[in-house]
Amino acid sequence: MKQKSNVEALLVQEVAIMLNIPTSDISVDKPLHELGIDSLSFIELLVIIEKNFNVNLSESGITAEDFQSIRKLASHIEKIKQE
Amino acid sequence: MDSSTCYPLSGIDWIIHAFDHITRQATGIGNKSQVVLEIDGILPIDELTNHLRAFIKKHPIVHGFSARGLNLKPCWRIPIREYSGSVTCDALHVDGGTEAILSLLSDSLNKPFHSKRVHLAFRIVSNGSKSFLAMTFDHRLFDARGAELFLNLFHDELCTGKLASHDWQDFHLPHRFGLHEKVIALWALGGSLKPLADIGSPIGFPISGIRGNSRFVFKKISFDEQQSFTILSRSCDKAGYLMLMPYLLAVSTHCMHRIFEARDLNKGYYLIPVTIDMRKSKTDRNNIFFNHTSFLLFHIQPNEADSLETLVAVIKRQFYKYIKSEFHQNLCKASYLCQYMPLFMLDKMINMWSRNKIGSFCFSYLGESACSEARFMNCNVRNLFHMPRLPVPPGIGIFFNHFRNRINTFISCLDGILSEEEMTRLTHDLTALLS
Repeated sequence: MKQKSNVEALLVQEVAIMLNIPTSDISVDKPLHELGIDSLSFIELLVIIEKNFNVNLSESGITAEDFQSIRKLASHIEKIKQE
Repeated sequence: MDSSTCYPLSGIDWIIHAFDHITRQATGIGNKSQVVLEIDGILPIDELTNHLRAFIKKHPIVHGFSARGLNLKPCWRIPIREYSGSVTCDALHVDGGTEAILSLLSDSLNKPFHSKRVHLAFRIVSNGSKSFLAMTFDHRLFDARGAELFLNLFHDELCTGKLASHDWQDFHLPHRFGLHEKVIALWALGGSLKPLADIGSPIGFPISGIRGNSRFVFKKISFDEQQSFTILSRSCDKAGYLMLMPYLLAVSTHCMHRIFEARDLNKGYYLIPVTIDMRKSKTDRNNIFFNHTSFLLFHIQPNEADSLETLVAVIKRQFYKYIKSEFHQNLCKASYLCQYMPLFMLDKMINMWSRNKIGSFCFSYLGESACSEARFMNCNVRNLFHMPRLPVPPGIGIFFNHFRNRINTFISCLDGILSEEEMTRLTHDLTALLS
């Protein structure tokens, strides 16, 4: 559980840097597009995730559902890290 | 020389200056663009022009010009004293619909600025029920997002009634990179671009016969909220979540491919420079002026453009690869190495590298507008769109922006590159594929 929140925290931090907004403005349950993420920042986020967590998202069976919010994305990353 | 101060330009700014120079050589007019607010009702012309003049007076930066600083790097000289050359603001009435209005708006865009120190012009066109406020701007002063932010600043000052002085010293200075960092970036760029050198020449429309022509023609395709929602949903289905830009690029490439193919222009590959906004925040007012953009260079084989599905996959793969290799950031860093080059030399280098074809066509998806106010001087704002002139070559491009749940498409083309029939076909294909 603690590690899960670490993944979430790191994603929140990265999104905040990417969008130049305070971490407190980021809701982990909000859809990514509502946070202001576009195609470019989305790909940047994927690259950051792959570098930081050493995972290959495209081969991990990730679905559109997993990208719906930071919480869901963090949960998927956590799952593939455990596999 | 009058008293002035200097703002350092970035490497990308110098590349944009080179595009301006290339376009000036080819068409007699530099690289300029227009952002247009479409408004329901009639704007109070006198009040608006007075406000605009007062606003412009507070921003001497718009009367600057590029020069070399003491360190020989390019900079923007900003007059300290007020410059007498005024920004024009004309008002016209037209009896007609959108086509007639677009034609008047194109006219102002297709004319050069009246002095070296003028980089902005305003035009208000009204047809009795609607008004269009157009701001024509020099790309050496603003990129498209910057122009929206400048209009937004003007709008805020109109609403609050206060003319806040926006000191240029508050603006963010271009990031400084060490020589080592720039060289490493150039080396990485070389690695990313090497495959392009091995696959032949970019396909492009011949422009030799129309060199010297300065007139650009425009076609506007507006989608209503429902159609825009359909485009968004379709992009999710066909390209994936948040993949609207790659989807729009795929659709544009597919439609352009049909035109190239009908002309038998199929030897080589499509090279599509895509402009991307490097601002972290879309509303960052410290980055209004100059260029905060970079480019991604998509390369597509004609046979890959036959199928939209294949195109989407190829574009997504290249998009990911470019971002992973930090191509866009490396381009920004490496471009500083060009700053000492005179523009004519930089033009030659760009043309030599691209074999006289900077691209097959240009593309950009600007995203949600930074200027999304619903009201302007007590009138409803119906739409906001961009009409860009482009570097020649390629002299043709497809542009998208998003304004309050509506997607706008603009085809911009140097007159003569496409026949009327081809322009109609391109407009029809884009509309049919998207909506």
